[in-house]
This record gives sequence, structure tokens and C-alpha cells, in this order.
Amino acid sequence: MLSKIIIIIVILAWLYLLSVLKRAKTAAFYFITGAAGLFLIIILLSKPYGIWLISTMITWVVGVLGHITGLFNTFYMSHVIQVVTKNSTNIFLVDFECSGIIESAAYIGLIAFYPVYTLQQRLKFGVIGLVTIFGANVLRLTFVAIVIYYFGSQAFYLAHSILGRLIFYVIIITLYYLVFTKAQLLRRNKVEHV
Amino acid sequence: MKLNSKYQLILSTAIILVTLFIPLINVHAASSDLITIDGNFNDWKNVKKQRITAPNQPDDINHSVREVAMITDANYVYIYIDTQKDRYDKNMYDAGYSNVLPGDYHLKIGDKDIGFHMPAYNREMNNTLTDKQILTGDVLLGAWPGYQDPVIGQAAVRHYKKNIAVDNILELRLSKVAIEKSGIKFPQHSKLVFYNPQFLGGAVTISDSGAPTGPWILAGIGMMVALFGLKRYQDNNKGQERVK
Repeated sequence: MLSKIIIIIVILAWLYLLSVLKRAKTAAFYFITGAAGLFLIIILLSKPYGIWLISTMITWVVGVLGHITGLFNTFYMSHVIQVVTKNSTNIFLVDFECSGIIESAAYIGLIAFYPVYTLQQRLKFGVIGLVTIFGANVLRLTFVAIVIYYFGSQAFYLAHSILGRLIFYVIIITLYYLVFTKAQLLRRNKVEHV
Repeated sequence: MKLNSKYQLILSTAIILVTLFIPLINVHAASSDLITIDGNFNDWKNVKKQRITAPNQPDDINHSVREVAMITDANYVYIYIDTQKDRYDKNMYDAGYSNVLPGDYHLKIGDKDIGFHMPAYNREMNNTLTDKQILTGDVLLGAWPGYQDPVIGQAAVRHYKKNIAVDNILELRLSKVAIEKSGIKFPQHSKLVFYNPQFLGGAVTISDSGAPTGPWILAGIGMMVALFGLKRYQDNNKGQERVK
């Protein structure tokens, strides 16, 4: 209970700080404080239920793809992906850092306090972003499982640490670019043409 | 639709407080254990089973083939052994090879080897158990009984009898937390090898890995990209003011 009280106090202090920054009209500090604070709060609150839910959902969807391809199977309630090859059984667990919840929380924090968009736009881009992050993670985990199936456990490092991450990073950084930067560049061009 | 800062604050506070108390509600999440140790083996149907002959019992002569499987989740390592798969299926006399050996089980965790035993089982079980009877017991640390061995898991055996054929199917789980409490470090991700030199002519190996996305780097990149966008936005606004 003490930790909950501490969290509530931290949240109230954070809200007060936000109100001060809002009144001071310091957009950048307001944005950074808001985004970082909301990110931390979501991460704190997501244990254990949020992480469990997202890990279950992602393992289930990956399992559907495994079932369709017939290359691997999952135990979604336990967040286990099993890839069986001729010589070995490879298990990987979808846990806190694999579930995509950190990226999702960071994205929610950023979009919620990004001053460029209206509330409706934030909601729209928020949903699009969360679906994109989820889809990218499904793609990454499926890719790793398929590579292990065809090339064995010795390919795990290459598939996961290099190629899988590369795919995931490209998708997520593209998302960040399109949502947070490209719109501004286009707007700037319009202004210059005016 | 733009909300002023007062309503934004009220909305944010409401959302956060509601979210905060969701975990306090007495929600019983469904069990996330991969396998239930109860002597029913339906939950093993999608786990790969490996055929391993008994030591010095070539498959083609004696058909003393055991089916063995291992899998792990965040909390436990689960092991399955069908002691006399082929002979039972072919209705052959088991010749004493279907008993569950009480000890000399080993699990290699990375480069560390731990032994465990199950005192509930012995060579008399085929005479004392009836068809489909389940016998449960603890799994204790140490390859053979010692002094005050700590409990590190649970096991269940279901006994099968038909005509002259006998079979026993064992499932057990080892608690990673209990093993750690015994002073043996159980890394979050490692290569696991299960073997019993007296009972199995081979070993079962699984590679347990995590697959983190590298999330903290991405969160940092997101913040930088957004700040860059914000800077652009502020520049645009200045530009627009100049145009006006």
C-alpha cells in the first residue's frame, strides 16, 4: 500500500509541475516533463497485469502465424514460443522487455503531450502507433522463430539481435519520423510557399 | 477540438487515478503455468517429445524406448517421461524397465549441474499401483537422498496396466525460485540439459532465450525525434507570425 501512496504523491507532484510549466508557457519543458512522466507512470502501473495482457496477446497472435505456417507453436498463457528443429528445441519467452510495452508506453507519453496535434489527432495517431508497434513486434518474433526453424539455434543471435531488431527499429523509427517530424517539415514547406 | 489546460489536467488526473486503482481490484488472473502437475498429460500434446532408449537397451531389440520432453516458462522447468512407450503400445512385457527411477536425475543449467530425486517412487511401484492410478510426490534437491534436502518441485506419475504390459508416465516441475533459494543461481535465459545416466541413454536439450526489442534505446530515439519535431513546430510558428 505504501508504494501506491508514493505513486499517488509522485503523480500529484508531476501534475503540479505540469501546471506550472503550462502557465510558464515553456512548451519544450512541458512536453519533456509530460511525456517522461506519463511514460514512467504507465510502466509502473503496467506491472503485473498490463505486461501479462500484452505478452499474452502478442504470443497468441504469433501463435496464429505459427499455426498457419506450421513452423512453430506457442503457449500464449505462459508467453512461450517453441521452435522445434531436427536437432533441438528452442524456447523463447515473451517477457517485459520483449512485449513491446516499453515502446508503447514511450509512444503514448510522447503523443499525449505533443503540442502540435489536436486531441482528436492525438487519439488517432495514438491508436495507429500502438497497432504499428504491436504489428512490428509480431513480425519480429515471427521472423526470429522462422529463421531458427530453418537455420537452427545457432542462428538465434543473428536472427534476434541483428536482423529482428533491424526490422523492428526500421518500422518504429519510421513511425516516429512520420508522426513527429514529417508533418512539421510539410507544414514548414507550406509556410515557406506562402 | 482543443481542450484548455484546466480540462487537460482534470482529464489526465482522472485517467491516471482510475488506471492506478485497477491493479488494486481483486482480480484473479488466469493461471499462467504452462503445465499443471496433476497426472493428466493433455497440456503436453504440443510439446516436442524426444525418443530416448533406456541405457544399453537398443531400440531395435528391446523396444525400451522412453518418450522424454522438457519445456520451460518464466517460473518453472517442466519434464515429461513416458517410461515404456513402445513396449506398452505393442502390449509387450515390460521386463522391469517401466519403473520410475527415484534418483540420479540431472539438470544442467548453462555450465552448472544440479541433481534431483523423487523419493515417492521406487522399484515396487508397478506392484502396488493399479491401472490409471496417480501418485504424486515432491522433487528434492540432490541426485540421491541426503540430509534435509530442500523441496524444489512437484511430480505426478500415472500408472498404466494392460494384460502383461505396464507403463508409467511422469511429469514434474522444478521451481526456478526454489532452486535459487538453495543457493544455485538460475539465469533468466540459459541452455538446459536434462539427463539421467541410469534411466536414459541420451539427454534432452532446450535453449531458453529471451527476445528483447532493445526498448530503452528506441524510447530514447522516440524522445529525440519528437523533440526535433517540436523544434520544427516552434520554428514554423515563428515563420507564420512573420508571414502574418
